[in-house]
Amino acid sequence: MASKGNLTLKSCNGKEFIVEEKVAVMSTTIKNMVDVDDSFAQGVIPIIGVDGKILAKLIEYCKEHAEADEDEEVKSEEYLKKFDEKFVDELNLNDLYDLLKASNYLEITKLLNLLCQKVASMIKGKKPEEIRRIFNIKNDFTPEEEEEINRQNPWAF
Amino acid sequence: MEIVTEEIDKAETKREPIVFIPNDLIIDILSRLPVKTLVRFKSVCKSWQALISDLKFSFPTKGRIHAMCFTKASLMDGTFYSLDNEFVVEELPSPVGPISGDEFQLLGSCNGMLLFWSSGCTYIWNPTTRWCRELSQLNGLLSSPLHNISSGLCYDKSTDDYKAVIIDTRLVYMASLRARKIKIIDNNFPYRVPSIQITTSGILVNDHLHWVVYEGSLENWQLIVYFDERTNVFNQLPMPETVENYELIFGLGVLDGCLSMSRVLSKGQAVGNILVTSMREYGVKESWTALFALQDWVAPIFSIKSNEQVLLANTFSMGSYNTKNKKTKKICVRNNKCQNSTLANCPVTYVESVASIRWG
Repeated sequence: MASKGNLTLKSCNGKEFIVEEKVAVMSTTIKNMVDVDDSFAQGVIPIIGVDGKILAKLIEYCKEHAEADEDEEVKSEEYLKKFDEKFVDELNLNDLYDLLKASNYLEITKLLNLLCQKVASMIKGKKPEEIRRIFNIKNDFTPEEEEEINRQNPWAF
Repeated sequence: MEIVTEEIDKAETKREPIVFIPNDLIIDILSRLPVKTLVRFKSVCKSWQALISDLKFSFPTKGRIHAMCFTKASLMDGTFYSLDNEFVVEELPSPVGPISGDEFQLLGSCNGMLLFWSSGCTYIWNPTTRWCRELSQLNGLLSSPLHNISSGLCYDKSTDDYKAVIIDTRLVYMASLRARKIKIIDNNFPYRVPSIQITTSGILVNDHLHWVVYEGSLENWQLIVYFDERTNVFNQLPMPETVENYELIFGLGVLDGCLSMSRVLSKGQAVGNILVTSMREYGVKESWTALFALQDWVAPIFSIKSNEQVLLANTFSMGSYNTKNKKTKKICVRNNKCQNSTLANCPVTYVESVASIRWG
């Protein structure tokens, strides 16, 4: 390994980040790469489709959680809960989606959970037309079809 | 949400507000929503409609567990109450019209659907979507009144069928709900379900239904048996070493996803207390772990918030127990029409789902 216990991650726009291995392997995808092929552990790991800004965010999250996993006394459950809340609250919608996809690809389960929960609480109780706006979805029902669906479950509205 | 939208408008107008999100992520997000919201989202677009209709059994149920209770009062119709995961009580309209409080029994619960009996008829009901059907094939079997009947509802993945199990002393019936067929699967059931059990409907863990039973004629030895929904066979679950003869198992529940039992202690300083033990790893004898003790004769029904809040019940009352501060609180279901209503059944848990039965 280049520097013992460290890995180099490279974003799709060429930004390099040197992170501790325990932080990087919070991502199952990276863990599998390192486990299978030793050359990854020595060289640079390209993180396809994730830009520098999002990768920095991912690393920020993994760092906090990797340290917490290692020593429960330093970072309490409560501290992490507060960190998580602040972390998702500060994201704008685009970063939220980019992070969602990146953590899905990199299999950072904890973060993926957190982000999915955030989106879920964002859209909970919204009307279908608001959902279409948020997710940029085209309504492909005819007005009659839409009315029919809504008529089937009047109690949900 | 408004604030977020504003941010996009100001800073990122050039970019499409939302890029493509893979379906598996959409499913992950949607499955965290209450079913009511989900049903409403069916009209978002065709692909969402298909996704949501498809989600039948893949809902993660954490946080969306409910308990159904039925209360009765003298000379009054009974009332359904649903408790959500924050123990908020909501009155639900009966799906079959007025029900007499004395002519009712909850028979089982599986994938969000409840099996119940009322005045000679058996029904399957999804309280979340309000879907309800009468199971006329069971009517002849369960004629009133229901005495010493143990029952349960389970789902057999291998045949995509729901099975209702009815234990009537020595006879065990199994009704396949999709095929609308009933058969006797055992005419010499070697166990007996004790009448002191707080709930006669089987507890569903690991897709199997569980009951506390006596074995043999001496009736001094209690154990847990489960119904294997694929083979239609009853098997015994390993019990912890510490269970003694004559020790009473008072009820079963599901804590943190694991089967739990409540035992009345008969030895040591805490005689008469209820000890709650949980099988942390299904089927592994050594994994039975003591969790906490209770002073009232109540048994935990289910837990939420990582096992911190536990719903307690017996056939008369309900309460909550906080495993951190060890405090017990009473939960009241109060009928507006009548202050003196009592539970007619031990509450049965159900999850929010969009499931219904497709008839075969």
